[in-house]
Amino acid sequence: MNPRQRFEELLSSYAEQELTPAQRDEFEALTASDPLWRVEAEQERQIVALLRAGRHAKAPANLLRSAIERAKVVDIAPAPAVRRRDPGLWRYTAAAALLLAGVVAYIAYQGHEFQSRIDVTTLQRANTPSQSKPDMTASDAAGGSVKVAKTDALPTAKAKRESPMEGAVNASEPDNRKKEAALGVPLQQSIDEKGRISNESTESEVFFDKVAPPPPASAPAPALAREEPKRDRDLELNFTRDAELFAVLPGKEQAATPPTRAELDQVLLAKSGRILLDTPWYETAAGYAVNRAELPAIGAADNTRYVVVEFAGAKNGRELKDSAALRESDSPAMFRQLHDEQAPTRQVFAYSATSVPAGTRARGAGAAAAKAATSDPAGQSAMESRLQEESAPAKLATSPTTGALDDSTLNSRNFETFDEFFDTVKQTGAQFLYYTADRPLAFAEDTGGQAAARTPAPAEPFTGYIVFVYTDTDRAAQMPALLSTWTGHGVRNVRTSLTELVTMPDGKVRLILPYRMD
Amino acid sequence: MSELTGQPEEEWERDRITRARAGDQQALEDLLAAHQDRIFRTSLGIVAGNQEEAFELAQEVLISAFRHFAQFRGESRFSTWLYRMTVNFAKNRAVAHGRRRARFVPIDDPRTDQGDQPRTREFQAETPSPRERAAGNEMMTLLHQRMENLPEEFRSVLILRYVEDRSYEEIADILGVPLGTIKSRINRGRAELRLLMADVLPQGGTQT
Repeated sequence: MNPRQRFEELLSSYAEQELTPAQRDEFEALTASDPLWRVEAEQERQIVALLRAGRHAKAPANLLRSAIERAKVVDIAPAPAVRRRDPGLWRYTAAAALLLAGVVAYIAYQGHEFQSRIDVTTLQRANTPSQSKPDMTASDAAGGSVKVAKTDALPTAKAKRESPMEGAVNASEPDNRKKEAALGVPLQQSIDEKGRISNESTESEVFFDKVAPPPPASAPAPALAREEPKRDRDLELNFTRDAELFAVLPGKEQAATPPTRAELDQVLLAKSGRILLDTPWYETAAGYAVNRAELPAIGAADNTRYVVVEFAGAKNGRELKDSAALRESDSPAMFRQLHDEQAPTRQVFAYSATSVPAGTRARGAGAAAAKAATSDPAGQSAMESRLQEESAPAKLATSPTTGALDDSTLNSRNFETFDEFFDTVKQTGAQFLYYTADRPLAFAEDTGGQAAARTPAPAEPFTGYIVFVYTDTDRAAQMPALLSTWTGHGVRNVRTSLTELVTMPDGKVRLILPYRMD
Repeated sequence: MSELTGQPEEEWERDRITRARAGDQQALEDLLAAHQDRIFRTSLGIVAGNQEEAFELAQEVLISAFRHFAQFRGESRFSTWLYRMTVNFAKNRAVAHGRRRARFVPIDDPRTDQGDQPRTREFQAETPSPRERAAGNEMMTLLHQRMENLPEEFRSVLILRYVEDRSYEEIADILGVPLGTIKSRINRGRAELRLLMADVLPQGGTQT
């Protein structure tokens, strides 16, 4: 065993924490001999540690109670997963039954024909008026020249066949050939060590005995186990009138006439809680106001951005209680992943960033428009409060007289958590725009990253950039100095000393914070 | 009681099973309550950290256990029966989910040109929100995201082994596959997961 193989063998025991002291010494020697192996061992350890960290997860408090309640009320209906599985099984069973029935019918039909031929021959040769059963034919003809039914496999004929009839063996061969020709399968005879013919019934022969005569051609085909298509209560894909696949919300019977794509958009976006009713605008997660007419065009055009809207609680027919625009991104990879991972409950829209009119991007403006335009107070109130909460600089730490940042409360802040840091930045009047790993995009999608090109990227490897926007340029200008005084665990991953400011064509200022994951 | 670990708990469990078989519904509820955490944890692992999916899956298992308790013959441990149901339900869901996914794959998705080839190697680091990244559980979040790219057979064994601390023998019993296969899957699953996580684990990639 070469060292690498030995290392891999020990690595497994290492991960399982099953190394003996001697094996541990050997393992350490191996990892010391190759830095890459040491890295591998450390990664293995971390993977296992991460997996084990999942042991602390607890079930939500209402899990069992709601399950039991559901179990008690849905006794008449099987569980959804089982229901989904059934149609598949039925289809396979039905297909197998159909195939089997076809084969049986064919064989039985051929056998019927063959039987008729035998009977006619026997009648002619033996001149006996009634011989409807092959075994009778065999017994009656046994002593005669006709040995047609010698090879018939009817159990009732077996005893007769086993009587000494050695000479019949050869005589039966032409008849076997007849049968073989009729059936398309060879009939089997076996001769034991004493030369007796056992004439075991072959599978094919048994059919003559057990199979009912084939139905007349005009008889209706037996009903197949074909189920009516069931509606998936979770979610259905359906074709809209304009032939576009679309996810249909669960828990509602579909109308006989499917809605158009536009109608569905209207419903879905309204459910998302962020549609600006009575206006053509849609408020995205980052506060963009996007023309709804542009939303359905999922594609990969230049400057395409993706908005992912999640419909929480949209499964198993539960009522749609809440929803939220989840996040948006410029990354097709992210689009694909989000699209795939939660397709039943998420809707992914794409729109062209360049088509969003200037001046409509600020979340506050969008929120205000939403508030003004809303015609559904019950459905919109939660959204409004959330938008207001997220967008409004509720606790601006500014001087009441000058409007300047109140450094006495913001200077040298220590942040325990990132959330605390994040919220404080927003309290300075910042609008969180997005997080992106794309440096040119962080600087300006409108200017094609020209600003990014002018400013070299930091030497350190960064995971990405957190981008805020200020409408107040003076406040923005104060932020780099202020950020450099901020410390604590909450900002350990934010390179505040490398903060960059970029003035956008619309006069707003972007605050760009390099961020690096541990 | 939320976990069953020792002898008294086993006696307690036997007692509850006996009573539940005799029609004591409260005993059955107690039993399920004692196991709900492990059902949820297993579900959470198998559905790659999606809380809502895990909730749904765990609920399906609990409902089924509640309604079909009579089918538990006591030939294996009660927990084994529940784990088995969890894994099977998860497979069913994955099949149903997979069918839907297949219809959603956009035409410009490179995977459409690659058949069913695993896409683990082309997985790009996702960009969760800053809050998610900085919340302190970002590695767990990443782990769950990456685990979604693991084949289900690997995911199940890793969860049962490392999250639920089940023995090889018990995992083999739960999944109904030979012991050697379980060991092999655990090793391969770990290695695969390590590759999937290579960009966020110490010192970059591996040379396996």
